[in-house]
Amino acid sequence: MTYKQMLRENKMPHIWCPGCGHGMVLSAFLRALAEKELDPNNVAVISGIGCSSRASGYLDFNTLHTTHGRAIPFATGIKMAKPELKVIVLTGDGDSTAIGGNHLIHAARRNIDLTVIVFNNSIYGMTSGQYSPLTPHMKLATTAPYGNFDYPFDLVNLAKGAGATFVARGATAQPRPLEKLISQALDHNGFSLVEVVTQCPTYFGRKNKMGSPVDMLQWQKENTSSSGKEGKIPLGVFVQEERPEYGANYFQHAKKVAEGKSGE
Amino acid sequence: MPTVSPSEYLPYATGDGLIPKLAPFGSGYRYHMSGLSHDETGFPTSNPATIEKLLIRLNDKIEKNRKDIIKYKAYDLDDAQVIFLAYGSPVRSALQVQKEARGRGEKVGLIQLQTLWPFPHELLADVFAATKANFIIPELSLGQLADEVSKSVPREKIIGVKRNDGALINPAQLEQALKGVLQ
Repeated sequence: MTYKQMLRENKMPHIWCPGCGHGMVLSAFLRALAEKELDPNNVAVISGIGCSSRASGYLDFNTLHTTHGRAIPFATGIKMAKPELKVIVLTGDGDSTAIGGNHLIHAARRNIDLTVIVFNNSIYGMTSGQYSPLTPHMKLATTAPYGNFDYPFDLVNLAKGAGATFVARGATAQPRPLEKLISQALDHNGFSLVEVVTQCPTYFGRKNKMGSPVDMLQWQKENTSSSGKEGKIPLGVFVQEERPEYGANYFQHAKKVAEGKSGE
Repeated sequence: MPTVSPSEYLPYATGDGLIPKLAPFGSGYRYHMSGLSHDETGFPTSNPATIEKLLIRLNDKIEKNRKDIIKYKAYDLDDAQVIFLAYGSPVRSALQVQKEARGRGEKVGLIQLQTLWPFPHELLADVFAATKANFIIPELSLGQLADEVSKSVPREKIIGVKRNDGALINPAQLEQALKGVLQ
């Protein structure tokens, strides 16, 4: 697939603000996907609600823009009904860790073969800047005018603890390494999650006086580390292990039960 | 499967029907599905005329299939002078009282609603026209079910039995209501 073949160009321009990182995440995703030699008819991209979840509409695959937080349940249904499809979820920090938080941990626990890409811009952008479960402590948001008193989830550790078998974190300031992380996630058989640190200059950046989109990318460069530097947001692959994949094992189990043998 | 080529395919074009024939994912027909108000292509729209058409169609899928959707059970309605009408847990108590009443030779029937929307107004109007019965309506709510029934049965023929204290409506409570009506 070429880059161009994967886009629905007649749906452009996209809705994202100038300087938003979501296009950079989408672009890294498409570069990773382009290498895979997949038939676009066999790719399903599922998204929830929010800025990042609008990405599915721009992609010329089987695409499903679901209700808020429910991208993973829809994706689970599609993967179980059509195991031959490559099923990818594009979602945001609010969508996947607040209203969709339970779906996320249980899909990880099941180790179902989905690739989930979380566009983490630390805020609900579409609805004008409310804090999400990934908004850092004491950062400002429309709904946290005195600072976000809650502490955020560490999404990598959350996914790891829930049983995901591939977990990585990338950032829009590092688009080539990000592309590689997404590529590895796409190759993984089982539940894979890539958290992508991305910038929302319109709400998170403006509220927190982080400057221009370029300044926000500079902030990412200064505050992330691919080599585990103390006090920096770690980037890279954190979990990569083999465990029986849910769908294939489910069907084997169902077959055993149908043949009258008890399950193990 | 659609009869047109993938490039001509409009997933949500229903023609004269109510239900779009969606091609399965993986079939070669690539399209977009959205929970937002959408047009025939499946993409979100904010065009008021398109949205209105969509919402009317979704509502019609229910309203025009009333006969398939509405489910109820009817007990001893033909000669009934009093009919219990209930939905959910009060049905069991009502059924016990109705059976005991029949055992005593009292002309009591029961309608158990198994669905609430669409509401079976035509059924209730027909039953009332045929029987002129009083309706006892037990409900664990503040009278909303009785209100709905009053659209097809005269208000003066409806006796509501309400309970909102966390306990279930028991047969004794309905027995008492029945006694009141039969007197």
